[in-house]
Parts: sequence; structure tokens; C-alpha cells
Amino acid sequence: MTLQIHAVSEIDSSDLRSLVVDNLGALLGTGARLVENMPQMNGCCLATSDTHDGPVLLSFDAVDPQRALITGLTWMDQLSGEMVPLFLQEFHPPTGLVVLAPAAPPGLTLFSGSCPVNWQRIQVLSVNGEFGMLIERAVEETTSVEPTPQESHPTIIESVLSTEEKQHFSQL
Amino acid sequence: MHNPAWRPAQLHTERLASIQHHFIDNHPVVRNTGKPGVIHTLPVHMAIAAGHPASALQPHYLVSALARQLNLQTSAVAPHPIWQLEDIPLERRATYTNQGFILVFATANIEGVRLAYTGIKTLSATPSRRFGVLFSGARDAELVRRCQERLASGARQFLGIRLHELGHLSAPGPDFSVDLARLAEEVHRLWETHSIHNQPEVVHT
Repeated sequence: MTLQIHAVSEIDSSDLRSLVVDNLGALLGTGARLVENMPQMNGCCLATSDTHDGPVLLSFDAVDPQRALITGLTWMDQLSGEMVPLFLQEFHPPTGLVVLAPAAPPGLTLFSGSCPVNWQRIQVLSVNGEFGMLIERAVEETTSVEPTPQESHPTIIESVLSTEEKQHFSQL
Repeated sequence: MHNPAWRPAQLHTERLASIQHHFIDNHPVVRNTGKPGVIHTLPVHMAIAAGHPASALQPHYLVSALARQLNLQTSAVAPHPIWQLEDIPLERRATYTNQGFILVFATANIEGVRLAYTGIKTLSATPSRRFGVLFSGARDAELVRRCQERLASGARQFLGIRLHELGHLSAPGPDFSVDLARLAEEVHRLWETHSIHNQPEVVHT
């Protein structure tokens, strides 16, 4: 039997959501699960618990990394309000956001300086007419927007390091 | 006129609003369990380079995940300790003089190594401190090895300090839970070994 495999650029949000739910273990580790009784969220956002019951928000988009990031940040904001736990029994605000997209969202490095957000690469495929998801461990890749320096301390380094130390730490 | 069907929900909302001050925690990182406990603060020096990859583990994520993991792994111990991780700005290093073990989280590139060393040099002005170094953002094991070697050799040569290697932690993925649990176990062990046990701890009542 010949496998017909090709990348998919258009997929319904409900189909993508199903793919993500089916692959929660592969994405977040064994034992990851959906959080029950959540309010209706955007179709491309899921409240989940990781292996250790840590609340993690998943935001995903098969094509647009930026949309996935913004959607995720919006829901992180809405689910982190102080009043939310009062209206949702046994609810804990998400402590992390994982963005699933085919490329790193622009500005992720900047956002991650103030919000616990990570990115994981996904690629939706069609295999003999059935949808499948390729989950890749992201390799070193910078965002398309030049990242803003976060915690660089050039002045401190200049004043703290001696000439020998600077030379030692000039290359790997 | 309001729809009478909404009245029960409105009453419920008003009731919740009136008693909310009993439930809202002003310090959400540390939840009050109602039982006396001790807060363990693990200081972290963030050596995050400008080119920290978006695909790498991010500092805030590490802080949340590792604190949660430490709390989980020590939850059986009585009295129940509460762990929190605290980022150390270099400018405030003098206020951390009582901490025996410090976690250093660094980008796996030359700038990350340099920032890590700078922090270690500055913080090591207090004797008896120990440092555990965790990297993230390497594309392969060889890069991790070179970063570890460069930092360790520099610390040994210039400061006379031997660092504890905590390895490399990638962004959340299939192996993240196992790697995080292993890291928490090692950090806990080092903290126990090197903490200054008479340090002033915060009693949580």
C-alpha cells in the first residue's frame, strides 16, 4: 500500500482540536489530560493538566503562529483573574502557556520575559486522506522578529570581568 | 425589568462577591494551606542571553514548573515545606547573603556562559556558596558539553569554585516531566546538602 502524505494548510479548528486532544500525551507527557468543566473558550485553546496536574494552557494554530500566541495570551489573561477561581470549582489559573504552531511566533522571546510561555512545533499532515500531526522537538530557532535583549548586563560584565576572564569567555 | 430567572444567579454572584476577601490570596505563589509550614526560597540567577531561542525553556516557565515539582516531591515531608524560586538581580546580591545554594539558569551559548560566570563571580563573594548550573537552548549535546566545560573551567581557574552540573532542560515536550522530576530531585539534594540550615526561614501560618 502506498502512503500518500502531504502537508495540510487548511484544517477546521474542530479537526485540529481533536488532533491536539488525541496527542496530549505526546505533547505534554504521559498522563496529560483536559481540564473538565471549563467555560467555552476559543476553538483553538485548551485548558489542560500536565503529568503532575499542573495547569497548562495550550493554544494552537496549524498555519499562523502569531494568532496562536495572541489567542493563548488573551486566554491566559482571562483565566488568571482573581475572581475566576470563585466561579469555577477546583480551578487553578494556568501557570504556563504552550503555543503549538508550525513556526516560532514573532515576539515570543520578548513575551516570554514576562509570561511563562513556550513554543512547540507541529505540522498537520494528510496521510491517505486522514489527518495526522507531526510533533517535532523544536531545534534552536529564533523568531522572525529580532529578539529584544532581556537580561543582558554588558555594563556589569565590563566592570566585573578581568582581561583574562574576558578572553576565556570570548568563545566556546 | 430584570428577568426573574436570573435572580438566583445574581444572588449567588452577590454572595460570592461579599465573601471574596476570605478566598483571594494576596500571594498567589504561596497558597495558605491553613497549616503551619516553612517556606524554602531557592535563589535563581538568570543568565539569559539576548539570543535565547524561542524554542528553549523560558525562565518564567522554569520558575513555575520547578517550584511546583519541588512542592510535589516534598509534599509527604512534615512539616510541609513550601518551595518558591526567586530570581536574583545582581544589583540585590547583598540581600541574599544567607543562601547556601544558588541555581544558575543559562542560555546555552557563549553569551549565556559569560552571563552565568559574571553572576557566579559576583555572588561568590560570600564564602560557602554552591552553584548548580542548568542550561537550555542547545541544538545538540555537543554544544551543552562545550558550554559546561567553558563555564566550569573558568570558575575553577579564576574563582577556585567547582560547579554542580545540572545538565540541559528543553522546552516542555514528551520527556519534560521526567527531566523536570530528575532536576527537582537533584536540586533538592544539593539544597539539603549546602543550605545554611540556620538561615532565617519564613514561617507560614
